[in-house]
Amino acid sequence: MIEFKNVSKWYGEYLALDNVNARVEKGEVLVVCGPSGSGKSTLIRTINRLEPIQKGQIIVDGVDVYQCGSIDEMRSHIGFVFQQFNLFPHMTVLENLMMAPVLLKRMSKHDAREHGMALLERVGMGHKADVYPTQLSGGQQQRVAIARALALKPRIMLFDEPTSALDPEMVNEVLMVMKSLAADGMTMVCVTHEMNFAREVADTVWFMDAGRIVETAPPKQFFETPQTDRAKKFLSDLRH
Amino acid sequence: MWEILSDNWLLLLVGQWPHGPVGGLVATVGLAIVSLLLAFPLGIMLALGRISAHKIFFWPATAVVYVVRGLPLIMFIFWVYFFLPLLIGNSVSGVVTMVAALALYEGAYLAEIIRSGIEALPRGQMEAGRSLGLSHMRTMRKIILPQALYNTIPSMLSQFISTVKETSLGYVISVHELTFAAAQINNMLLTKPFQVFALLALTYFTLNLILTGVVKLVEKHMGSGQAVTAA
Repeated sequence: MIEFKNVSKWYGEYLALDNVNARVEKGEVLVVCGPSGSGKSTLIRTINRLEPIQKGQIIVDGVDVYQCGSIDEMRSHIGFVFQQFNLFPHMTVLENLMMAPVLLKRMSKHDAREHGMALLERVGMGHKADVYPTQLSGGQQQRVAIARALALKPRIMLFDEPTSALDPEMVNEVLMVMKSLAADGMTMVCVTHEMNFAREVADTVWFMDAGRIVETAPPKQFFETPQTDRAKKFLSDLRH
Repeated sequence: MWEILSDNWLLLLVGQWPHGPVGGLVATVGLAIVSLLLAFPLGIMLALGRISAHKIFFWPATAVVYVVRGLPLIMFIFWVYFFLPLLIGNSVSGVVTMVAALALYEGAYLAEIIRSGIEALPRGQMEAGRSLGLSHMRTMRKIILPQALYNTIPSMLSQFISTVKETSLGYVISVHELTFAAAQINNMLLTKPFQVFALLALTYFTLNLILTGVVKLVEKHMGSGQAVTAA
């Protein structure tokens, strides 16, 4: 469970998050959407403390992320998927997946390899285990990145615009993987513009504008009867 | 000129060895290699200091880099030569002096090369390591430095070339290297300084031409292998 309590963040003078109060339940699939600059990426990055906040608290499974003893321990329970994949280019696909379990969980190389292969199979990338990330397409890289984020068996997965850097024909393969994760009951926070994904998979949609969550609703309700003018305009812009 | 070379090639190559210390070209290359090997870990530490968010690491590292880059190498040679013995109470040989001065000097330059390599990597690499739960140091060691060091190999090799040239300053404290050997020959012949020093110049130039060729080869090889370039 993730809870935001009076969270505010500034970049210098600029207010990026404006007193956010919200919660995400265990097993919930949340889609965060909104116009660019609305603070959605900032919001998701605060959950594992990639961005410092100046006010408020973020509680993940009962622990305050900004006060906890070991942020590294905390982060190992939270998977993060980046827009730019950020695979490690000097390691093979399988080594990308093996590193964290070997270093952080003292898993033997042999076990880490099997564990990594199982994850690669799960995202349909088992046949590319031994190649380097730069030899993969964007969609393939992102699937590997998801597998890597799963390698430590996180309780929560965060997706920061996972399909925005992809060519259109590769979006689907990534969304399929995300859908299968959602079907397994993973707690997921997804910043995305894929409204079909939101419609099909999300339990809840947050619509953000100017650093605030201005609408919280189940997807059906959000898409059919948005409450605010800002959300109505956003949705109509998306359709055109 | 060729006569000088055929009479003295052994002195130019190895100095008075085996009847004295190794000198000449071998000592020049040896000095450059040893001091760069020592400069390498120093350079990594200084580079990490230079990008550190902690002032206790940032300021000393920055001070070292600025001081070294702001002063000529020969100053450091004199400082080590005259003041290190006072500090440690023992006399220090010319070779040790030279290695110490060069290691410090090259360390500061390598630090800036390595720092630029680190800063050239996408910020997402550090973020990806951290968000897996790796500490800052571990992310540095396993993810950032392997890429940054690999990518800066050509620049570090270029630094090696200038180190080779800088070893010639060892002459002023009587380190038996290539320039010293040439000066010895000049002192023996007395009347042929132009030929002797032309020979010296040619030797340095040929050596560095070869090394430059190596750098070119490495660059070409790295350019074709895309496995380790940052995404």
